[in-house]
Amino acid sequence: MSYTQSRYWNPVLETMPRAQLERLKLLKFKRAVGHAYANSPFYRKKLDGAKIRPDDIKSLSDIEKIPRTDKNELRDAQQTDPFPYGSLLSVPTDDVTAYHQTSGTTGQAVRQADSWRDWEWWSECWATILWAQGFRPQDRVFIPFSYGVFIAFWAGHYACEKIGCEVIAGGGLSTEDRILKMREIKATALMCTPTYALHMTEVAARLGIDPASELHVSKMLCSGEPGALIPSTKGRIEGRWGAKVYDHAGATEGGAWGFECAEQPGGLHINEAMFFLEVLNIENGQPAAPGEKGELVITPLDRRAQPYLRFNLKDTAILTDDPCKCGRSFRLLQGGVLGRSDRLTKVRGVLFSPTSVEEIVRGFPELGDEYQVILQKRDELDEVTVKVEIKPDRRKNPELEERLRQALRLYTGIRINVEVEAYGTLPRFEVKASRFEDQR
Amino acid sequence: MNEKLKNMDQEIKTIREAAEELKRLALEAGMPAVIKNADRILASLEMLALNVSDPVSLE
Repeated sequence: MSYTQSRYWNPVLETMPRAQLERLKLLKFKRAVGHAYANSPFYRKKLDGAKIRPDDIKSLSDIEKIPRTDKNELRDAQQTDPFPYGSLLSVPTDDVTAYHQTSGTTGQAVRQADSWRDWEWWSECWATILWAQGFRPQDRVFIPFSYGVFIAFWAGHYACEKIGCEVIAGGGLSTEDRILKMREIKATALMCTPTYALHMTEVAARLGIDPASELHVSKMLCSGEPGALIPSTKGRIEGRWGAKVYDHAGATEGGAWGFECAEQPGGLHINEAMFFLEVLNIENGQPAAPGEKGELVITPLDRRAQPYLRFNLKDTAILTDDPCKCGRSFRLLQGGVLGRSDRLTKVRGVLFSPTSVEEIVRGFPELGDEYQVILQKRDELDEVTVKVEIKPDRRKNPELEERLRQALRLYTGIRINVEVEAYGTLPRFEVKASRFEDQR
Repeated sequence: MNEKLKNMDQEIKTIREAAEELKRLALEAGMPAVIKNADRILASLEMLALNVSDPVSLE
């Protein structure tokens, strides 16, 4: 059998029996804590403050003794020396080979240092993901992102090279030129945000190109937003591209930790050989039971230049013990990343996640891809308004608005106002979509 | 598989020793081209260790 027929990038790690995997996680967690304590002034201070020494970690349950890390702490730490990473830097400055930063959507951007060794680690994590999604050396992968300071698909590019794919960096091209280039060179795979995957089909339509029949893309990795595991969004993208769409979750601080495998199990595998991911009850911080929604806390187990211990991702998810047909022993997050815990908000006493709107809106074939969720205070009452666009070949009508209103109420449990706008009037996004506005 | 993994692990250790020695010689000779390429080999070897040596160490 050719190695390219292997279902797994590393069958030893990916199908490791659970008991052995737990031992591996403990071994690596202890090593990560030891490295952070010895080399990161930030973590030495934090662990000393909590009266924890690396030797105190003897079992996986001891991990809870380590205080969690919040983004605000990272921002503060980066005000210290050495510039620009501050006390988070855990290798000599000469070893840093890559600078990236977070998008800064929730405040001052966090700067991220990586050494070449860490960069190898990034691409190793991504290679696990891409291989699980069917990327092989025969693929010609088109990557239409800006190749800027955000980490986004940078490591995906390097992982493709590691796998042996042919990579086309589509950064400096307009969307029109990207589509034409993909057609010209017969790209077989694509990686982008779900929003951009949909946007490209709108632009292709203006060019008179049908991606499903005129391009050659058979698989897509979508990341940066939860859309690829929202059934109606996945369905739209797969239908228009005639390709399989796979989700991936990662973060600048956390690394590339989650992936949907080729079986499309309706959830994300956690790469437990490389990451320690906790799902914790949002209210009390205790481990959430399988099936219970919690927020994610991550420890990248093998990151060295700027390591993290128990970093609050602020994403919400539901852990399940259900096995996957792919045979991996890595556990699944049912439905993937469900939203942001810092965007969960109470509306008239009901917990509301703005992301939940997407599944409904994208399930209406009369509506375009874009939408906006706006929260306002009117007469002391919270009001939610969802703005959508009607497709150019459809007409606004009260019956459609009422159906949408009812579907949203049924799905979210709250009354939501609906405004149907003309096609093309709502903002478009190419990287991270920002569709939620809290004006209260 | 276990025996194969152990053999791979042994090869990784051998290559690491060789790469470290190569870097040491290059540092003595002041040859950036060798030092930096040896660094890259060592970084790749760390990934091999994550893939092979860590699971072997659990035996």
